[in-house]
Amino acid sequence: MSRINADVVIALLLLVITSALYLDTYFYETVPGAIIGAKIWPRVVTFFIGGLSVLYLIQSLRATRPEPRDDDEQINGVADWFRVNRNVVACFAFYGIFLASLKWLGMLIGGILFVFVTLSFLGENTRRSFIINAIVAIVCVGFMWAIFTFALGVILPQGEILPR
Amino acid sequence: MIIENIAGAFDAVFHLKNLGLMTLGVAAGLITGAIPGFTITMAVVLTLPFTFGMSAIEGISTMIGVFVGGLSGGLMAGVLTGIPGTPSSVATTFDGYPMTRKGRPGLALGLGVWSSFFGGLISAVFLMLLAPSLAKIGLEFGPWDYFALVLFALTITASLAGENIVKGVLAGAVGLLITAIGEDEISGVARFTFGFEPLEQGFDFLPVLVGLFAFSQLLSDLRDTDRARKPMVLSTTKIAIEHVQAIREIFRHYKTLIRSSLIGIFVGILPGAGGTIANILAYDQTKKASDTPEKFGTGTPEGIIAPESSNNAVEGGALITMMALGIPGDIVTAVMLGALLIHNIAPSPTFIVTEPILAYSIMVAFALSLFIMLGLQAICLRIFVTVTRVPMYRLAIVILAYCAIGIFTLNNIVFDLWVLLIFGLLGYAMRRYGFPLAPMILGVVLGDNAEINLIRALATDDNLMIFFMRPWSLFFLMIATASVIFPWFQKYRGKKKWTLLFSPVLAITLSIPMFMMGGQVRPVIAVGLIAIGLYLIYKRHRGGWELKPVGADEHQLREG
Repeated sequence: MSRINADVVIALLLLVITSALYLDTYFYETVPGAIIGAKIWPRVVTFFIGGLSVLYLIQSLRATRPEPRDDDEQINGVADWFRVNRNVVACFAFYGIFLASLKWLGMLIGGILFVFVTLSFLGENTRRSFIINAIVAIVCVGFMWAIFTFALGVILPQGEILPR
Repeated sequence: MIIENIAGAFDAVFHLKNLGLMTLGVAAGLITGAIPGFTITMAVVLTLPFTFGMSAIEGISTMIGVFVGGLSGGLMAGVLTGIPGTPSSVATTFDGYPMTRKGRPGLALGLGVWSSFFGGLISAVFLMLLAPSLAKIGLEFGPWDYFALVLFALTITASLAGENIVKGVLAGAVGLLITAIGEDEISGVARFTFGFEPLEQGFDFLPVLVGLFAFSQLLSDLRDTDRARKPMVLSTTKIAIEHVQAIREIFRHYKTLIRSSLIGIFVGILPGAGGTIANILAYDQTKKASDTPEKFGTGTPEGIIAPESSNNAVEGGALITMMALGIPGDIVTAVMLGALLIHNIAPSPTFIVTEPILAYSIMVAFALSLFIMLGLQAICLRIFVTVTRVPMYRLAIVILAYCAIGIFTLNNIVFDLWVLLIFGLLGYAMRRYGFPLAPMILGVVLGDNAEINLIRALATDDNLMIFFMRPWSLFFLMIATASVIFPWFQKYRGKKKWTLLFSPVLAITLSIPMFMMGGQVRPVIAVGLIAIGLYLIYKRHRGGWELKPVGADEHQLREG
């Protein structure tokens, strides 16, 4: 079991994905009269990735221990992983919610809320900090929104709340 | 013809709007480059969305401005705080910061600014002289040769990952795979879409790039809460750059300036290698060549001149490769190629011939940016001091929001924003697990060209041996193989006997395609390569094939 490390898992995952992608190329239609089919390039690339994944797997299994990184920390279990990666997970989650809510909130309100909520999550838990975060969110997002909307003439998602 | 093109380029670049955009670009680059954690590539990537509404010349000029500014901005943080603003100014801190601590921050900054200027100027001259000549070689390329060139670009970029070369090549191959997703341009057959309609258009280059590079970089910076909350406050607030003294010092050490600039140009020409390598290499070479190597690290002027002139010279070299061969010399030029694609200009070896005004405008804009950078440095220094008071997390999150706005404007579809998020996740995971991003970005940029040229080659003749029978194709395949072996050569040099044969065998084998190319000059080069190879073999034979320690081992022995 000691041989199972992140690299081995990634190599196996890559093998599974490339195998599935390679198989997918067998379902491509052949266009009549085409000299070279649309499947050639995807097959070349997936075959190449598959070969490299096998090499990577062998290399990872032969490695005595995973290569240490400068910022490596001792992580025990999923809860610990979430603790260490708390900020990153939160940023991705807030960004995902921001995108999902764009249809209703629009770029201006959604953007301001995203910046404010994420800054408040990452920053200090003080009243002063919240006020600064709110100002930063409104001014920075509002400014860029105004540039794109009025100066560059780009129509950003308007949402359902603001009048059209 | 060249004069006409240069005149046309001057006419295109010296427009008030373009000059304004370039000034903005240089200022943005200077400030972004100065903030540790915000790389130049990220700054150039984030500039891309703003260039959609511009002409190709305006867009590229602005990005060149950001790049030149970023390279010079990186030194401000390095010299004043000891934390390099960008990886390409790491070596600048070795002597820049000690000089600041000795009470000469103005001289340290002056040396950095003027070395950057002169280094960039030397590479701009090389760019103008070399690119058109190299472009003539590009015209000899057939689809076999171009496909082999793409392979070489990917392998050499991957080889920079050292022993992780398998991860590097894998990253490059995944980049190629990304470009295969969506409808096939020739037949219209949907590939790897699994019935999901938005995928039929394929992934746009920009959200992929911003996600992979900028998004993941910002999140990596935010991982540690304490570090993210801490502002980078400077101890010094009022600094006057000592221009005259700095220029005098640089002229006194003109050999260092020229050598380091040439190192920068050479590193820039190599696909995938950039300022990060050049500045350390130039510092190391200057230290080795110096009569007083013991002074390095204590605040010696040469220790600032070498890295700063080389990292600015890199871009001239990288632009040579981009314009002459259609292959990006580093990630920044890869982004610029992406910008050209947005303007429907395909990168290819015929770029200078088909787009002469644009090509020469790039050269003129590069040289002009250096002058703008000189003028703006003092102003941006003040802004930099102010920006350093803002905690990293505030800057990062605001930029994330800007990414969303900028990416949306590309096609006006929310799907691109999801692509940004997904590739941000992928980029973050790649960083965490030691996969280099540069080969993947190259793969994404060059994927379509690689496919088109492979298909053209196979459609002409399905005999794969042609790849080994055409001189340029054979040449690129040989150096691609050498670049794959190179990390192991570096690791085992001085330890295993086969490493003694690496250089001579490479020189002799490279002579084969050189002979095949014919003409007058190339066979002479081939004979020269054989002579070098045989001489090396003779030298090693006389030495009894004895292994000599190199690098760290050598130092250890000396100390011992």
